[in-house]
Amino acid sequence: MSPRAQGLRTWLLQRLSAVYMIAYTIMAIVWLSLNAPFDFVAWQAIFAPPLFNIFTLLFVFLLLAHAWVGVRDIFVDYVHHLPTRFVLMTLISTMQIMLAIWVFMALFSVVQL
Amino acid sequence: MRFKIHRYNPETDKKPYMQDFELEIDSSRMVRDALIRIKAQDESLVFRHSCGEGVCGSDAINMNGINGLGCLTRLSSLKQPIEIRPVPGMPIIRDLVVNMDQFFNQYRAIKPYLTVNDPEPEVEYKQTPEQRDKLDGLYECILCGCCSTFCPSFWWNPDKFRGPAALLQAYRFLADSRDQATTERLEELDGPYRMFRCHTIMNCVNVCPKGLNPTKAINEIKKMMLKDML
Repeated sequence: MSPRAQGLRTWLLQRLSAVYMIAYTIMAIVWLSLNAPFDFVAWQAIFAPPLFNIFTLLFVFLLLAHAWVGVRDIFVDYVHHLPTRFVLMTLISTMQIMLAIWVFMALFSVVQL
Repeated sequence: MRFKIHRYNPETDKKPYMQDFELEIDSSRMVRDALIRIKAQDESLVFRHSCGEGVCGSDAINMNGINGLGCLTRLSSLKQPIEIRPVPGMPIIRDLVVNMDQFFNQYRAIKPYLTVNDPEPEVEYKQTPEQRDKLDGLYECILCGCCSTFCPSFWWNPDKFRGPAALLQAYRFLADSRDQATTERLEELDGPYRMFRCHTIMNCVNVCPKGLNPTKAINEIKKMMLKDML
């Protein structure tokens, strides 16, 4: 990434993702209280409508992006040894990509188009 | 009154230590007055000071853990024993004197002067009263360094992060209607280090002896960057 993209754009990404996550949290609380799940089948059914499924997926992706910027900021502040920082960032990013794939697979398996 | 003062002479001391002093002094006097009297007792004590009225910005010190100007801080406002140390995070030269090079290098880096590309006007540069109002709360900075040396982000990255004092001045020139280098200034400040190391901790706002608000200025710069991007 260019230095430009790592300043204003990551900051903006963090702010905008925060707004979406607040909106999603409110929406999810309403949706879950309207369709309160009492068993596994009901729990699966909640995530079946494509719209809620996609909103949830977007929430998780943005949460991971938000966290990536936050963790990067901590490493930039405290980890000054560049090779160590690179290894740490690679570990975190790999873990986040794996989480994203896992969540995508979980949500995709229950969506009903 | 009881004082604990940070002492360090690199020529004779292996490491810094705190020295106790006792002084008869009216508690309505300022910390700087006390330091001057202590120096009369022990002339080896070294500290910076000049105007004595919060204008020159040379006597920034750390009193009971909080940065401030010795000349504007009343003794009665501090709990005894009053611990006086140099401002944190800077290389110590001796006793209460620190090397401010990094602070002034960051100030220099924001180009603290007007940049005008147009031909010079026949008369003076003109501003409306409203345009002039925008500089209030910015131009008053005396560069004492209380804010930047109390900023954790500046402690971690003093060579890369501009620090609150320099960023306040960056905004002072961005907000000036006569300046024509807005885009260049904004581009220079982008990236992960120069401005975006600020995490709105707001230590700068708490300690500024002139009551200025660098955090607000930094937010204004971010807004200008956003407008510039769109």
